[in-house]
Amino acid sequence: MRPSHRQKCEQQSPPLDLITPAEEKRFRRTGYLLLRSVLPPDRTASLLAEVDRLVREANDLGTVLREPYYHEQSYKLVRILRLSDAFDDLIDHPAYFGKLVSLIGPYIQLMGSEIFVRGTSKGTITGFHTDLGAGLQRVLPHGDNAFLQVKMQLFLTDLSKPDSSNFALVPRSHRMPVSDSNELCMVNDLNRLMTADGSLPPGTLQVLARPGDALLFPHSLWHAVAPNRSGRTRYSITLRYGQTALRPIERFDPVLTDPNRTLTLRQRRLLGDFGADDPNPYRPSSQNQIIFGWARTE
Amino acid sequence: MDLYDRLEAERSSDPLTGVARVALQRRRPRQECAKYLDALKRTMWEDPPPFVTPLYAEMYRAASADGQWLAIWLITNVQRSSDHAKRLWSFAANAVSAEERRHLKGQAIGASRYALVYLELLDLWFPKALDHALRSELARLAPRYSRRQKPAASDACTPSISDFVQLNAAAIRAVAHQLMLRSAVGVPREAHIGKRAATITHNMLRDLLRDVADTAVLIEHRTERVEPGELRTMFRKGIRDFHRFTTEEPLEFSYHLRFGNYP
Repeated sequence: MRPSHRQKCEQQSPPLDLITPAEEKRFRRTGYLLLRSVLPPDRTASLLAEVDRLVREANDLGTVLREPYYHEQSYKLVRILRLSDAFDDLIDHPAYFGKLVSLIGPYIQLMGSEIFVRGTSKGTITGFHTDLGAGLQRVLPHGDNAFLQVKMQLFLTDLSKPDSSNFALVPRSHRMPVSDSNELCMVNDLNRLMTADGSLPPGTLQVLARPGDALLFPHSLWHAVAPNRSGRTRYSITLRYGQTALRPIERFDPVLTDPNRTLTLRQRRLLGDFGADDPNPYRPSSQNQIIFGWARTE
Repeated sequence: MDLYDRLEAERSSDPLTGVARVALQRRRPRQECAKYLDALKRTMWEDPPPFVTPLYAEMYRAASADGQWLAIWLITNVQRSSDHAKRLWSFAANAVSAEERRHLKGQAIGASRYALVYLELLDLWFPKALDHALRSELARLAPRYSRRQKPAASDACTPSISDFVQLNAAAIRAVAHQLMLRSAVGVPREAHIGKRAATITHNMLRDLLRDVADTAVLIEHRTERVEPGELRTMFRKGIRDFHRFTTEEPLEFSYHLRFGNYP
């Protein structure tokens, strides 16, 4: 029998598996952390099947989102938690969530959810850019400060060879100011060095990921999508986490008020349910208890 | 199945467009309004109004247990309906066609009547809530438009499609409120009061459904030659403006505050 919402909320969340000192040092130094096999193959396969179903449905309905700077065979689906409950356990998956809490702190929320589809392309699919807009392009991580935003990108298809639409990045760029940019937060100086055949500039790196691997990176990392000459379409899921005081990219109340959904107290809080009693994104009540899994009841 | 049950059933299976579908099914002559329904569904999915959620109904039910809250809610609706009537009347004066003018004028007359219905509910349920002066003032707010009156040209602009989307959303929300009002906890249940209240709220619900269908048809006619992408943009603007105008309403405010929304 499916547990009721109340029963599910009262379940103890598992203790967090926080980031190790070596992982944190690497993340702060290079600006990314690749976590291997965060999902087992059978779970990755079931997620890929669900993503494939949603992508087909969205193409039939004409609801895919094609950004102006994407090439024609690349697009994304947004607000994916509304489309399916198959992603609910990804909201605070134990394989990476503790690491996110270590980097962002307990005042953490989910800010957006997307599926990326990257088709065949001879050239780079997107140029190097930063996230969170022009304003925060000028706000860089410093010292041991908490991060404003960290994205978790979960790869569902094989990217173990370069030029398969791999995630491309510039190591250590997350602490580097961008001197020449535009409204899309492109790193113009770097993008000018890219050649027509899609070769990436020196000093850049293509992440070689396998299905079930996850990449964490902060908003200020210079990142792009490499060409796709693999003959396969790349599918990945991105969940964007950030400080509760930031404005989320999407509204999650349709998920939170979905009567057919069962979410834990922690998942609800991450989706922005600050409770009915004095809700406040700056001073959310019982935040530590809920995020670290000490709270048993609403 | 009576009208309330049918609406509840439709809203349960299709929270975003259930009310609009029932309204269109009841309208004579029937019109499919496929473009309208498609755009409404997509826009409501992108930016769902709180009133489509079960939580909003729960919040209303909890708040309505307090008779004072309910009385204030009714007073607010007297004022809102009066203002809405004046806006519709102004739109009617600036309508681009005779069909639009007729519908908008009819809706302005209806909204003016709704203000008086809310006042009558106040009298029925909370006869001592208003002193004579306040009641008279509230009664004067309703413009009491009639078919014989002719909307005079005003400085207001010609109603846009986004304006019609807002009118449509407002009527759908008012239908949702009527359904919630039926289960309001703080309402006196004496038989003689209940019978009269049931009659006037049922009539209002029927008229509101007609408003939903009429604005849907106006939108469908106005957008015959509009591309789907352009129509979605117009709907998005209309629904977002509607959110903005209603976000400070008590239930909407509590809802958005709880979920950290920034409409």
